[in-house]
Amino acid sequence: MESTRITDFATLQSYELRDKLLLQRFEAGVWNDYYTEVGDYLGQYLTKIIDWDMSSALAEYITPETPGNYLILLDAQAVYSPGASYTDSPVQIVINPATSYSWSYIAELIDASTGRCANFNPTEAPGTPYGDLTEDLIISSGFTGDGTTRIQVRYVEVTPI
Amino acid sequence: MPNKAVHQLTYTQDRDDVNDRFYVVRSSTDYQIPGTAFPPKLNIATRLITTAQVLALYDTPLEIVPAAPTGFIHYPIRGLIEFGGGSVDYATNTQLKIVSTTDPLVNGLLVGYIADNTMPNALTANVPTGGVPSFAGDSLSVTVETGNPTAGDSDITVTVWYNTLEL
Repeated sequence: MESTRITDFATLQSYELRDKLLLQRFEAGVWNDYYTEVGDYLGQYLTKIIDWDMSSALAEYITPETPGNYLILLDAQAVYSPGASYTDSPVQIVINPATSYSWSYIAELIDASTGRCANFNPTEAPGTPYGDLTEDLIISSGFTGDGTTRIQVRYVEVTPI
Repeated sequence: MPNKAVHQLTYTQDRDDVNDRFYVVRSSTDYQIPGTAFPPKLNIATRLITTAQVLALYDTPLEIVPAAPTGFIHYPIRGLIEFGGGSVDYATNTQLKIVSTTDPLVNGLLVGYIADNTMPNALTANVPTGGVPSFAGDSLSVTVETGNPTAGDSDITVTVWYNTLEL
C-alpha cells in the first residue's frame, strides 16, 4: 500500500462482513501485522442505521443480501433528539415481518424537549413463535414529531440448512 | 503502520482484545485503539439433534456451547430452530429452550417452538423484560420445558448466537 493518509480514502457509510481490517498484535515482545475481516472480529451480524427526521411517517426495510436467506433480529434501539417544536406526544416504532404480522417488536418514545432512548421489546407473550424468517423486516411508524430519531437494528442473515 | 497491501499481510481469524491494536483517526488526530474497546464478539454454535434425542431432550439435555473459560461467562442472544425431514409434528412438550447447564430447570435463557416442523423459528429471550442469568464458567445446553416431546420425527438443527463476557 502506498504511504498515504486515511483522509485520502473515500468514506463508506456502512460495513460489510467481508471488509478487511488491518491490525497489529503484540506477540512475544514483537508487534506483528495482520488483517482480519469485520465478521470474524465482531461476529457475523449486520447493523442497519436509520436516521428518521420524523416529519413524515417511517417505512424502512431490511432485505436479505441473498434471496431466501433468513433474517433474524438480534436487538434494536431508537435514540431521539428533540427539535424546536416538540409535541410532547408518544411516538411508537415497530419492527415486524413485512407481509405477515405474526410477531413484532416495539419501541416507544415521547416527542419531547429532551433526548430519549428506547429499546425495542417484543409485543407478544414469551414463547410466542418468532417465525416468518424469510420475510423482509420492516421498521415503521405512523407517528410524526419534531425531532430526529436514529434507529440501530442488529440482525443476522442466515442461509437455511 | 505497515506499508503493505492487504494481500501481503497474514490473515487472522482470532481476536486478542488485550494485544490487538487498530489505527483510527478522530478529529484529524491519529490514534491506536485496542480490541477491548470494541463490542464483544457475537459467537455462533450449531448442533444437530436427532429425532431420538429430541424425544428424550428433557431427560437428557444436550450441550451446544462448551463451558466458558475460568473468569468468563456465556450469554445467549438469539437462536434458530430448523427442521430436517420428517412429516409428523412434535407434540406435548414443544417449547425448546437454551439453558445454563448448571440449572436447566430454572434458567431458560432463550425459548423457541418445535410443534410445527414446517416453521423454522428464532429462539428469543424467555421474558420480554428483566433478565434470566447464566452462570460463570458454565456451558449452554438445549432442552425442553416440562417433559419429553412426543410423536415427532424430524431432526432439529439448533443454532445459538452468544457473547462470552469477562467477569
